[in-house]
Amino acid sequence: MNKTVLQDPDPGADRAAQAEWMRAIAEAQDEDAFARLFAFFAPRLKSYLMREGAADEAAEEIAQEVMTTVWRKARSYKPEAGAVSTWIFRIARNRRIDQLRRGNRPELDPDDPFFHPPAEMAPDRALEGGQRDAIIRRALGELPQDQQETMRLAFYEGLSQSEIAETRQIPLGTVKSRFRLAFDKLRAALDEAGL
Amino acid sequence: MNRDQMTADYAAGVLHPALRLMVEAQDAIDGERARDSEIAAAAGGAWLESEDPAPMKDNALDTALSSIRETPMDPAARAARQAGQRLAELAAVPEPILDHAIEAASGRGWKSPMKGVRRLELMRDGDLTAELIHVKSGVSVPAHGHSGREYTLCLQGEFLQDGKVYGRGDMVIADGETVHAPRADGEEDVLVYAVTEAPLKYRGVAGLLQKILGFR
Repeated sequence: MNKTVLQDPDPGADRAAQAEWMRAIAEAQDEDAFARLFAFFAPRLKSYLMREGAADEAAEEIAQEVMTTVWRKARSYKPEAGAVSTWIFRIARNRRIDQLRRGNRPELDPDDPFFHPPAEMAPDRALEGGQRDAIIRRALGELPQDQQETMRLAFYEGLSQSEIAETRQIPLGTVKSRFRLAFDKLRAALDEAGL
Repeated sequence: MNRDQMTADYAAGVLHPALRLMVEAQDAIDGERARDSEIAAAAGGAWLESEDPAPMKDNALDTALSSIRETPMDPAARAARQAGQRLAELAAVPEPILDHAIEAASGRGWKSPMKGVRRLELMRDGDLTAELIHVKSGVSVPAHGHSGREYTLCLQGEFLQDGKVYGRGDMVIADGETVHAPRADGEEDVLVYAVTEAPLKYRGVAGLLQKILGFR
């Protein structure tokens, strides 16, 4: 379970460069920038999707679709609203909802109106976004390991609180309290920063 | 399902798309709520970055490049919003729902089941129907019940239902047993985003009309 602990960001995860690539895609339809973004995110999306239970072939296909959506929606990405990875994660997460809805049918229409990233944030919130992302990451890394794991299972791997209790063989009350403690700390970190 | 369960299901990525829109729309109206969603997404982004890469096929990048060459880029969301705001009736519709509303308004269009009430169906998926309902100020929707739950998010104006007043950003969840007659109570027309688990069943004369006309 050592994967649970938030690792140091991959040296390749240069967030400023990623935001710059997004800008090049949005403004100049820059395919080289897309290729760089693809090289970093597609294999990680595939890994995430396989962790969610997708077979190799399906995970590859969905990672492709998510990246096509990244291209199509590039003009909606606002660097000041947060990291590129946060934006792409939301696309992938919504994609998973659609997949469940379609009963895992393999044929997918990337033009489906529900296959879309979340809304733009209001400007005043967007200005704070990049800073907020950094604070959340730091606070997340400082959580005790059991709380980090609970957050990860719920928010990343998509387990319900009772599923977490079951698979980890811990009482549901313990899961709930870890969840609450973790969330309180993340909120407090933002409060401290006045965000 | 209550609001807390919706939040949890949303964060876990298992909430029905019609209700996901409701959560995102409420977030868009209420910044405090939005913060919890942002915490969850920022954490997810950080974990995505630290995934061990799973090798893609050798031709994966070529596949992606030919896909994007066939994919026109959407205009910035701001442009879509401006287009939406030209449709005055959609001015109060928050961003997450707006694309669907514009599409539905220019497609199926608004239907008027009775004087003072207009509805725009955005999505019908299994037993769930998502729609915008516009009620003229002072008009009451006839008493009706549901065979399933009804989720209502107020986007504009104020409406009175079961003795309580609901305004922009308020969500009401009515269970299958409830019979109610919401009324557009303020000076402003009311616009709500409603998700119902099964078709509305009107009572009284409207119910009879519903049977005869089959408007829902």
